[in-house]
Amino acid sequence: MIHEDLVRHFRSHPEPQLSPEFSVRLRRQLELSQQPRRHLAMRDEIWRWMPRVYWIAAAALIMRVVRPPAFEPAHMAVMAIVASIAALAVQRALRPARLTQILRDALLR
Amino acid sequence: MTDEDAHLVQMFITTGRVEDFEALVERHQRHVFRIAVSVLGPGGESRAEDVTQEVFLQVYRSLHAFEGRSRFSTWLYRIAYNRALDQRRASRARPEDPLPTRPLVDRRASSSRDPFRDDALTECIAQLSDGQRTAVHLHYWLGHTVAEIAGMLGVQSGTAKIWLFRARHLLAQCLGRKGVRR
Repeated sequence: MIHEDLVRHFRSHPEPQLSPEFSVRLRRQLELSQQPRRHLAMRDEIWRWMPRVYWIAAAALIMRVVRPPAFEPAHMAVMAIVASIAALAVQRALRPARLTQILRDALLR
Repeated sequence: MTDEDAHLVQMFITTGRVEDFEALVERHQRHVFRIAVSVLGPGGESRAEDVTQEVFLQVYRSLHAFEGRSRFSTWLYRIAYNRALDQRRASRARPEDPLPTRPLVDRRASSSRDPFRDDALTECIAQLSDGQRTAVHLHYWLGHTVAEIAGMLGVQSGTAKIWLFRARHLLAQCLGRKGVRR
């Protein structure tokens, strides 16, 4: 009996539907919510590139001030390889420890 | 998590693109809305839509924290259910902004019925527990089967069945007390 009452009772209520504007509104909200994410990603990129740009600029300045003698192409190649290895080693040595990274991220947030 | 959901979640986590997230929304928005509307009841449709939007925004911001220990849909529907319950409690706590107790109904369909009986049934349904009331709305209003209700509310089929059984029993008693049982 109660089963029939319930069926009859709810028959009069129209079945609810999401409004047609729902998707548009949600998309707008999602895009607004995405902007801070983009800013965060951009800031991370800047932090990553700033030291690189610094070292490149420093090397260019040294090259400009201290004019190197003319080298043979083979010498230039060897020096480029050695310089790359040295740069990588320095970069690894200067990379902040995990804890430093966590603290820095916490301060930035 | 179904393969399709797992694939979409992974893709969104990797790319972070709104378009990838919208594919998940497309798949689940109907169920999320139905869960919200079944908690809020007839007349709460616009609030249910707001809840649906809030749920997807919350999931969008926190999907990276989803550990995949349960199915994505179970996780999502649980958020929707809890959000809708919060909304219902907040509405009841604000007397100036209550949930409608007398929802808008199709007058053509209701003209042949007893409005007093309808009101009594609405009041009795409002007195059920959250699970029972939601199950009644999902089954009798939105036409979901017991298995579907169990999936949407993240419970065993037996639990959903017991909720419906207990709800019918309590509603019969409640109507009897109000003197409107045949």
